[in-house]
Amino acid sequence: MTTVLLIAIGGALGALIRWKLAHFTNYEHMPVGTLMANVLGSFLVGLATALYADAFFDNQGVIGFLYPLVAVGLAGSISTMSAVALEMKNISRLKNAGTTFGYLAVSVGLGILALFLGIWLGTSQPVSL
Amino acid sequence: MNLPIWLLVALGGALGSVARWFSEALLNQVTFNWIYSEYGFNYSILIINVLGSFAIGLIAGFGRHQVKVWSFWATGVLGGFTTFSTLMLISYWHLIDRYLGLFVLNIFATFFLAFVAVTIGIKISQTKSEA
Repeated sequence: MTTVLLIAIGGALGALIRWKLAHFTNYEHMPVGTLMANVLGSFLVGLATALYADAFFDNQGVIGFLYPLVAVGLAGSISTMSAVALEMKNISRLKNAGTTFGYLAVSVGLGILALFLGIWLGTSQPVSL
Repeated sequence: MNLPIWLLVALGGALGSVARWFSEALLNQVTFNWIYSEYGFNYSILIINVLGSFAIGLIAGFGRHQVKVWSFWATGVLGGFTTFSTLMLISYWHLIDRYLGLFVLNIFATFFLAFVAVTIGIKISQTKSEA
């Protein structure tokens, strides 16, 4: 029950942050707000996984609570796939397949980089592939 | 109800996120693919993202110009339900485990199917709107 409540709080906050980002930064054909939201979400899930995932899955009290709040709720809600799909549809309609693919590539590229950064900061040592 | 937009977004985000948590747990049991498993491929998040994309296509046709409908259902519920960060986390494990094929397949399957789903959603809502 506590877990569900934490996810709900994180989810509400995440949706508000994503909404504000889109509000301020989305251009007609360039969904910069969604991109920023997805990169931020990826960073947060990396950081939370490095810091809190073990504590959560091993049921280690207060620190474990931060995983559903930050990773599942906040990061999961800040980031979105449904808006990305809709934006890709719009870009493909108004521009071309190349630009659509570019949006995909930039999202995934920056998202992965941000996640690695989050993990790296969370573990305080370089991740070895 | 006369709720402010920000509250609709927040309530939707809370609902969508909790729905994602339960759906993922349920789908994980059905498909046996917890992200840490050696199976490596996570259908749960794929299904969640594709379903959410289909739904946003429907709303884009029906409720795009109704700010409150859009704020609650699209920005809130579906934005909270679908996720990009978990897709990146799964991709991270694929890279760490050197499943490069799965890494590429998972990302392309997600984006391709989400794109197809949103297209179908828009088509259906447009057909219904005209009728």
